[in-house]
Amino acid sequence: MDTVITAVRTVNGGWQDLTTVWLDPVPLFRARVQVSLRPSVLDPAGEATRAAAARLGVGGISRLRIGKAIEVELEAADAETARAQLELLSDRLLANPVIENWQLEFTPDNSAGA
Amino acid sequence: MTLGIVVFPGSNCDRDVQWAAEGCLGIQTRFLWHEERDLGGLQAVVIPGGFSYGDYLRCGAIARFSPVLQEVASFAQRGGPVLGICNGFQVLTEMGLLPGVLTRNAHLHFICETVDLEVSPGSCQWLRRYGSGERIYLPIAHGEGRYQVEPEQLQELEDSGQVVLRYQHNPNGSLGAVAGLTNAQGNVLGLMPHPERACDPLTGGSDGRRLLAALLS
Repeated sequence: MDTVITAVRTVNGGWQDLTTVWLDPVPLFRARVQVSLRPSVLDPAGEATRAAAARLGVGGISRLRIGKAIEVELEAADAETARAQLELLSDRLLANPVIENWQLEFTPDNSAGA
Repeated sequence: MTLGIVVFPGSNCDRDVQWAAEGCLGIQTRFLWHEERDLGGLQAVVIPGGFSYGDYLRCGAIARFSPVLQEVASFAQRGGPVLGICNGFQVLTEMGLLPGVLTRNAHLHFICETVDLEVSPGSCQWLRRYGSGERIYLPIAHGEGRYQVEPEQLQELEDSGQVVLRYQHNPNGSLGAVAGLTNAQGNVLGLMPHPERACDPLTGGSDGRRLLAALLS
């Protein structure tokens, strides 16, 4: 015979009816980190692409810089924690501040777990 | 004397360093897999060339977080001699053991040639067997060797004598024609050229021999 546990003893000696317990889902946050080369840094790949654009017949491009876009989904207790984690990630791993700038696109309302 | 040689998934000069140290100079070596944490019994560590972890994101960016490099960082901070060659130099800058960063060559080409360098050993332990202002020839082989740093910081490096190797004909657009840098203490050296490929005269030169021979008393 299967036993179904429907209640547990709580620390203060009472009983908690498990049929009324809901586990709160951990909120999921979505963000996009835009990494771009700092303006003072030469971008040879961007220059090569600009030259190809001219060969394609798209003239008049005065500036073309290549960066990266990184899409992230992370679980965190709240928006503030999520933002702090994303900032750490961007500054210490996704971008090298010696040659790159980063910008975090993060809307706390984007929480997908709510 | 035992020299540790770090091996990441994607390293490809680890065996060349082993041959140069052990085969050419009789220095005992031990490979250090990237997950290892035991540097016991090692007197020096080399981070060799290659493409650590595929060099995804940026050269050396992922390697920096490997278990072995946490130990190498402490080893360097205690004054242990650490040498980073090519990808190893890129890793040292990502770790923050040396300032600046190495990025895409100015003309986008992967350059594989022998270059003319000027050595200014200063207090760098690894270069103690070279004369000040000496010209040497070493091979380079890289696509991302253009040294970048803030101009004020480059000036500080110049003033403190930390720019120890300089290209005579800047091949990749490096600021200050920097080919190799040491830290303030002189125990860490990072360089884009490959001294290990210039230890056996069979490979066309032996100017790199004295660099690894610095480890011998």
